[in-house]
Amino acid sequence: MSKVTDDSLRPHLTALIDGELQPLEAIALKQRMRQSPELSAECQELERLKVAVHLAGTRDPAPDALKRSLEAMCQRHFDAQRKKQARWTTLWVPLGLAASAAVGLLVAFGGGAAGPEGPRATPPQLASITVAPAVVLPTDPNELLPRLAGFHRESESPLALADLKNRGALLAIERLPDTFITPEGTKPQLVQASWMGCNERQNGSTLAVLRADRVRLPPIIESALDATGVFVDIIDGVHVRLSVSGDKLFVLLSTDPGPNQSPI
Amino acid sequence: MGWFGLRKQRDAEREFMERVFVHWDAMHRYALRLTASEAEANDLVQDAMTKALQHFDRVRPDTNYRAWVFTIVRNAFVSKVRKTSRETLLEDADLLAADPEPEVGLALAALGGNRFKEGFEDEVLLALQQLPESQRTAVVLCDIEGLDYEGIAHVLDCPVGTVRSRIHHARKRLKAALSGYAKTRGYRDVESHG
Repeated sequence: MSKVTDDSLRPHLTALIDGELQPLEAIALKQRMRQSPELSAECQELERLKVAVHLAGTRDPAPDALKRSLEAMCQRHFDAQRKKQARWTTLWVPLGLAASAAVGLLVAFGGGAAGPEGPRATPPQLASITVAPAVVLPTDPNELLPRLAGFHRESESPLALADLKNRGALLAIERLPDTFITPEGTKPQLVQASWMGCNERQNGSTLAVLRADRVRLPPIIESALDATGVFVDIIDGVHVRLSVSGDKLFVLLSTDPGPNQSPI
Repeated sequence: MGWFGLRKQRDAEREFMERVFVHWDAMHRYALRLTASEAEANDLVQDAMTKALQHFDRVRPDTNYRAWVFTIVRNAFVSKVRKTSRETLLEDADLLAADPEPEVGLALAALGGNRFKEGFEDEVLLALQQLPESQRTAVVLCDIEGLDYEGIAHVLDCPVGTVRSRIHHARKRLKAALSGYAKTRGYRDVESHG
């Protein structure tokens, strides 16, 4: 880590790559980065680290057995709730209806004067976050992934993605080595070539980093990403894994390994 | 049960599945990073889902459900840890005092040589595991689950500025640990020679 870089700026770099700086703060810091190659390099290194953590953390799918067991648990809870509510309805609803009718009559014949309102029950304070409206590229939502898959298969030139880059939707796209050090590892591994600064041994996967708020995806993918943060599919023989972190959409493309091998 | 009651109950069930249950795999990913054990992570997710079921009817409709489920997972983890005293939950002051000298290759020391074979992503996960819980949670929720600082602040029950500081210190440690890995593998030379 460079000694030249002002230490007080480092936490701001972290916030910058997470998209958490105020617009004016971000402009000031970017201006500073243009004057300081060390700061700029440090920022890039932090971004690569963020991507590395994201890819590592979303690599292994959650076990299906856990999903089934959780579904069964929820169903048991719902069944118990229904039984409980059925008992409550049988006992108290007739009584409640009668009481409501009596109160209704009292209000109607009492000139409609309502009593003072009691304090309203306040629900527990929980997180409430407003999502800003997205600025979206006016492109066909179905064309983005086939285009990226075409780039991965080298059937499309990098120029085919120029419009995405020019409009700030495509932040980076790079080819990654297929395996790292030992191909006999138990799980398929990916390593960021630029993070490690190592030589690429062979052409492997492709990683595209996009601005999530500037691209349109088919609704089924949007809802999967909203719900779980990850979406996996095979498009034109290319294994595609989408995941979201902050305002970034990561698209990891690899050639479909076939039925006998596990995909990345 | 009357028709209205049944309908309300079904709506609540559907809402739970659409707003909370869909995050089951994110809960599992986070639980796995907290416990570092598949079996314990599964138990933790089950505990958290039970609590979510019990408290769902009291949640405000404009709640960030994703942040809410992570809060439940974390609270379940913290209370379990306090009972077993297995992991020390450090306060910020302790973390900052420990931070200026990040141990290069900290993750490697805990590993043993043979784990090198498993590759870089395992190394990243291992380096994450070496972080104190609050820093780990901040960086996992930010980088893996994509929560913003406000959401993470709700989960950690701390100000947004503290989240920023925790993520900064966590990344500093991660960089040191992973640089150690690259160095041990001889990649520094490759890097410096282009």
